[in-house]
This record gives sequence, structure tokens and C-alpha cells, in this order.
Amino acid sequence: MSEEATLTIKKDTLWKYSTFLLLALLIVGAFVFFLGGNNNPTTGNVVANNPQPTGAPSQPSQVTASVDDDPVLGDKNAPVTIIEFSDYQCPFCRKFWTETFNQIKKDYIDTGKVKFVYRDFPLSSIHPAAESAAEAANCVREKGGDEAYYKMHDKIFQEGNKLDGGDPITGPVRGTAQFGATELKKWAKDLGYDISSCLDSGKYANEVQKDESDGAAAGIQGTPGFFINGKPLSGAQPFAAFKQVIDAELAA
Amino acid sequence: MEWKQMFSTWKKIFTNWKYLVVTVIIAIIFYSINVLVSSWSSLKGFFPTLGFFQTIKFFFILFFWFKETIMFHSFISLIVISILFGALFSLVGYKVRIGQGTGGKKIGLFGGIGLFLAAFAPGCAACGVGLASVFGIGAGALFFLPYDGFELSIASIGILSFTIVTVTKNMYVCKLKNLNNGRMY
Repeated sequence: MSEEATLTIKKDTLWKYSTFLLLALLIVGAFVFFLGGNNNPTTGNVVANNPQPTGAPSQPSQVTASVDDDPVLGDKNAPVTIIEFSDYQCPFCRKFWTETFNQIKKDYIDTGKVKFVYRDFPLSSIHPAAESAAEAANCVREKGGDEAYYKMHDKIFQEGNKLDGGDPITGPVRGTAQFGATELKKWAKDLGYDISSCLDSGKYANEVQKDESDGAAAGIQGTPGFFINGKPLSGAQPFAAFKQVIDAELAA
Repeated sequence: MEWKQMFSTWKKIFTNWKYLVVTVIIAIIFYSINVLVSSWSSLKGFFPTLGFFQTIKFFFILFFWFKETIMFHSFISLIVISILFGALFSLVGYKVRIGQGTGGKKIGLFGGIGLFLAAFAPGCAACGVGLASVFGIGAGALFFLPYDGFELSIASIGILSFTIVTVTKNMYVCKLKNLNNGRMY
């Protein structure tokens, strides 16, 4: 006769459950500790290598993500600062740009209420063109300043939407768009900038890596990740979510 | 118990509106906990600025938009796990109700494992959703798994399904179990 492993939750059996759960946690924890790697000594969070573009990383509630020397869109004295850590090849970042960013720009950035700062967080392990794209945008910035940077920023996402089979402005976003250095150079040329030598030299590789390190130190675990006046918001959230927190920050 | 009998049992239980409502409520609670866990840092961060009621409103925005912020397969697995969790909860409730004298809930070892996995990495382990993120195990931590932790979700679906079948099979059976050192539970 087979003996069934059914447990009645009494005190003693509760201990068995607890022990099992604890053991499982310890095993997973040990596995992660030894194999997960890339632990962040500043925050204690494990930072993405990163597997998936996502909207659900956990972050500390108050962090120190700075504007650094990165491109600013909008009034530099605006009362609210949005810092986005993003990856040009990440579909969720493109989704944010397609569905939310333009509305934020129209209602808050263009009206001087918000300044927006784009910082790079390329997830190179799954998005091989992300780092090149980040460098390409910086190369364009070198030639034409922040305004040119954001033209290239928009261009990359627009072209991503086209490669994804959608409308450049409205999408929809279906998946990861595949492109490379050749396309990036062409897109920059379409805007009037020759970035071939700059991109080939890897001149801005360190700048991009610094952004990534800063993002990791601030607790970014996936893209897009935002800090609105220093408070974290993760993922390709709708305009309604941004509106609510921006309005609250403006009223504070 | 044959499959036909099991379906008959499920039909009997889930056509009772009380158990159906419990299933739906538990499924929604489970889903909400996932949203809460994954959005906790944002909710906590903005709470001082938003205040209580605005934070609740903010949570609902994140709740309804949650599917847009995770991979489609992750969302589907989260929904499936939430429903299975709710169904198992109802089944256990029904079993406790009819099992007079059992003196407690019975979900079995597999149920415990399934619920643990479901809670640990329910919809999108790779996104740091679930208890994984509570323990500070984020997206990168499960990257070493071939499917970025999605396999944990599949495992929890399998185990929860198995548990539901087992609980249903034993629904109307009184058994002597775990004869251990002469003790009978």
C-alpha cells in the first residue's frame, strides 16, 4: 500500500514546512550568491546582467541617481527632474517612448515643468546593438549638442518601430528590433551628422559604461527605470502613472 | 478516482457561487500581491508626496497596467498561477468543510512546494517579481537559469495542477496516513 505524503498543519508539521521553506530559500540564496554574480555593494541589490527588459525590478525608495553630464531635454531649472535609465534596443523602452514619452514632453517638458535626462543602461547580454546605439547618440551629441542628441534618440526609437513592423511614431511595439552600427550611422546621416569615425573609435564607451555603473549603484535592475525627483518608478508605465507623480511633485 | 469523477467534483464545487467567488478573490489577491511586491519601492518612495488615497489610486494604475510592463508569457503564467492558487484554496476549503474531524487544512507536500514556487517566482521570475524581489533577488539573479527563471513559473504551474488533482482525488476518501513510529496522524 502506498504511503501518501499528506501533511496536517499542526505545530510539528508546521515546523517541517518552515524548515523546507527555509532550506529552499537557503539553497536558492546560496545558488544566487555564488552563481548570480554582480552583487552591488552599495545597495545590496543584485543588478541585471540583464535578462529581460522589464517593468518590475525592485529598487530602494530613495537613491542617488544624478543627472551627471548627460543630455537634458527641457528647462534646466524645471522643478521636477525625470532621469531615465534606458536601452535603445529594449522593446519596453521603445514602448515607453511610443506610448508615454511624447505626452510627457508635450504636457510637462515643453511647458518648463519637467526636465528629462536620458542615461544609458544597455543590456548588452540580450541586446547586442544597445551599447552601439548609446554610443551613436553620444556621438551625435558631440556634433550637435543636447538638441541633436534627442533627435537621434527619437530617430533610433522611430526606426526601431519601423523595423518592428509598426508606424514610426505610434508603433505598436511587438518585440526587439534588430539593427547594428551600419544602420546607426545611416540614421545619424539622415539627421545630418557623420558619426562613422566617432562610433568606430568607441570614444563614448566609457561614458556609456559610467551611466550603467551609476544606474546599477542607484538600484536599476531592468529597463526602463526612472527616477522622478529621486524617487524610483520602474517599467513602461502609462502616462497616468507619470502624471500622478509629477503633479504631486509639482504640488509639493 | 477517474477523470470523469474529478470533473464532476470540480463542477460541483465551482458551480457553487461561494467557492467560485472565493477562487476569484484569492486569485485577485495573489495577483495584487505580485503587483504590490514589484511596485513596492515606487509606492513607498512616492507615499510621502502622494498621501494615502493618492497612493491607492497610484497602485490601481500600476495594477491595471501591470500586464504591459512584463513579457506576455510572464503575464499569462501569472494569471494561470493566480487562478490555480485560488482554485486550490477553494478545494482545500471545501475539503475542510466536508472533512469533519480532520482538524485542519490539508494541502500536501506538493501543494506546499507549488505554493512556495508560485510565491517565489510566479509570473516573471526574470523580472524580479514575487518573493524573489522581496529577498533582493532581482532580474539578473535568475539569469543563470536557461529561461531566465520562467521555468520556475512552469514548475509551479505543474505542481499546483498536480496538487489540485491530488486534493480532488482524495476529496471523498478517508485514509490512514503516515504511520510513523506507531503514531497515526
